[in-house]
Amino acid sequence: MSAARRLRAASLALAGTALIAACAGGPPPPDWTLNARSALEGYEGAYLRGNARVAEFEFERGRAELARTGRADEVAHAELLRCALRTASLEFDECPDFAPLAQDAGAPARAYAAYLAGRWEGLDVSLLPAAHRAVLARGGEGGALGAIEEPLARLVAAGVLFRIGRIAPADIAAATETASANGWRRPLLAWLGVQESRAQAAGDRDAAAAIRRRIELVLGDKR
Amino acid sequence: MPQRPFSIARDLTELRGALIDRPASWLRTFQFAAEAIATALSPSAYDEAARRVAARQIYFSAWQVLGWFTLACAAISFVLIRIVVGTAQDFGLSQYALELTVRVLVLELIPLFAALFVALRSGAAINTEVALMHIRGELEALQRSGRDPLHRELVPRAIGSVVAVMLLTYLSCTVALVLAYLAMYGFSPWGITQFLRITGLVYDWVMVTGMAIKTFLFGVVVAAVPITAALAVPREQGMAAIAVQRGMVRLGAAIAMIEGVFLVIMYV
Amino acid sequence: MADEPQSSLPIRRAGLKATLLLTLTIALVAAFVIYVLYARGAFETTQRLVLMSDNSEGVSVGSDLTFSGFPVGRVRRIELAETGQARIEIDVPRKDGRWLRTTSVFTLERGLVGAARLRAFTGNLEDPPLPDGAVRFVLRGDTAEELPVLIANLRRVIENVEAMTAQNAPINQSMVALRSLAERMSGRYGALSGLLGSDEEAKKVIAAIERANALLTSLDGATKRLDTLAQKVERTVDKADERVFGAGGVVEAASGVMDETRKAVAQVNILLVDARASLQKVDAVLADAQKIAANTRAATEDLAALRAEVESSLRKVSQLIDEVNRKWPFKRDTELRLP
Repeated sequence: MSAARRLRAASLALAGTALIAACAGGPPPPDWTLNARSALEGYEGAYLRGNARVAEFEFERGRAELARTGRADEVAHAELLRCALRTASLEFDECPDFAPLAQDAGAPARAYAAYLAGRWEGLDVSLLPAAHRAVLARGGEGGALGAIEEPLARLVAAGVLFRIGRIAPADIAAATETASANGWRRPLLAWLGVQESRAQAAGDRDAAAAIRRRIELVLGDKR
Repeated sequence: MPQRPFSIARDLTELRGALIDRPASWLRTFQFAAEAIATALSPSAYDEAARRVAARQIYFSAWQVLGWFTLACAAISFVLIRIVVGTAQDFGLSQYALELTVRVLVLELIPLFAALFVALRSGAAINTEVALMHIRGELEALQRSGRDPLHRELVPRAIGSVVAVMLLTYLSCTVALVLAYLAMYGFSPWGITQFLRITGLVYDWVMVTGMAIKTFLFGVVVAAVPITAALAVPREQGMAAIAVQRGMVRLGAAIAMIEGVFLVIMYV
Repeated sequence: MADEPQSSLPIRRAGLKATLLLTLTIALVAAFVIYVLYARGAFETTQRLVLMSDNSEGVSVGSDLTFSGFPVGRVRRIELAETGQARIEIDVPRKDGRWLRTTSVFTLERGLVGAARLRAFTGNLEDPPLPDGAVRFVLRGDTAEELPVLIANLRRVIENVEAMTAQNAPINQSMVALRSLAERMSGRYGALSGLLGSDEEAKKVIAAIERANALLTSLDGATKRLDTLAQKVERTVDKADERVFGAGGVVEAASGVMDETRKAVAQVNILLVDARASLQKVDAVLADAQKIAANTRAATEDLAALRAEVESSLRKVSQLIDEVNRKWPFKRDTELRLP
């Protein structure tokens, strides 16, 4: 399962029982779970497609829905989702919005935040989602990315590896293809940009031009 | 009496002889009956001796058996009534039960039963007596002494048997009616109106008159037929038995015929 | 049972007994006759009632006319009248005549089995009594006549019911449609999926409603922000006003001190800049609101902004890119092909 999706499922873990009850025809789940879920889904889609404004708006809405429960772990998971998505799009920061919630968020959340930040020393592998355990174990040496099936998890892992400088060219290509396959503009542009600068640095002007054309294609339809 | 070897053919011949071969005897019966009735209706017949004979006949035919016969009739009536009424009540047809009982029992069965009883008892006795008197020549002796044997011996006997039959019939009918009422309604007086209605419905004038005439006729033939048969045999020593045999058979036939005729007249 | 020869045995008081028995017989006969007379109502005075009926089947002489189940009269005679109707003469005993009034109704009922029944009904017992020789029409009810009509009606009803419950009857089809509707209604979204036809449609509608809700909330927020900004602007303008025209303000200090004026002007500038910034923010918010209102499907794809953002983030990670370049120099075939 991808990190983001696992996060979302984990963030709604307490509401999971309510969801199961709803599916079994029991009392309906509380509306904050439904609203938050739909908002964060919208946020994920919008963000990856490149609609920053809408993504922000949706994220705020989802976060507000979770915040009104007063549960720090739920809100923390939303923040970690955002961090993960930003990591997948090679926008690295220290996850400032997660920091105030880290204390009450629980050990798995803190472990995940550390994983994203690249602080891998002393990290308990069992606290991470399954997909990323392999990455952590292998230490990024060759092809761990291909084992991850969920595309978003793959991108997140790729971003993390890139951040700690242990990424291989095959992984860069894999990340690019993953983003392209799913039509995710933001990570695609990021990875294409990386490829372009590498080509330029290597002096391969044709390759660079091809990559630039690809980038223009992605950015081509202006409104 | 000379012994007759047993033979069915002979008995049948006898029977036929008793019934058919002598139409003249039936004529004589009618004659006698008519004479008896005429004599009975004329007051001059009732002289002392005749009255005594009649009284004796009545005594023998009726007095001696009154109690037992009434009791027997009552018992049979009671059984029949219970059977009919009980079955009908099971089917919810109790009102028809009463009608049925009254019609069949009182109008038909009891007169017939009484007639047969008197016939068997007194008819046979009359038959034997008259046959013996005839064979011994007592009737001729009476004739020679200027007293009419018809008036003296025969008609009083007929009168006696008529009275006996009628008495037994009507008494038993009354008892049967009372028993029918008791069987339907018990000892309460509240069923009397309905009982009267139903019996009144059954006893219209035709029925009542018919029954009276039938009873009377039964009484007459109970005496007339045996007497005629007794007078018809030759005056020989062994003829009494034959006379009785013939008389009884003819009497049975006569009763059956009367009953049959009246049934046809009443119900068809 | 055999009798002695009659001449030999003297019988005690035979004459007396015989007379007794004779008397008894005659008494019995007389009693019987009287009984029959009484039973047949020869001693009752009766009044006559004549009933006219168009069909006297089942009525026989001697049948009873009943009132409340009790017989109050007996049919004496049935004959055909001049008009062709049946004329039933009934004898009613005087003592029972009080149950029959001029307004009494007489019916002749005939069931499927059994004889006909004559019945009398009296509604009001205060009415004048029925006169002697009264002629009334009898109401007839004959079950056997009603039967064919009843059977024909029943057959028609059965045919109708059959048509209604046939396989392709409209009722059946309606039932089937109702059942499928009820099944849809019992799905996840209840009546909504029943109305729209499927759960997916219902989900879309719900999502649209949620988005509209969100839109309204955000519009709300936008207007609220507009409100606060306007208030801020107002306050700023008021402050500026005060500074310019109020006590210790610019105008008051205008007569004197150059520094004061300059400072005041500088302050006014700042305030105006503030106002402008606020107005710009209002602008931005308004633009936001407008964009949100205009693009409900959240399809605003500001690609220029995206490009700018991506480029800026790439610039930030250029160092990391250099690191990767050091370790893994760019090779066209490995990078630009599917792994």
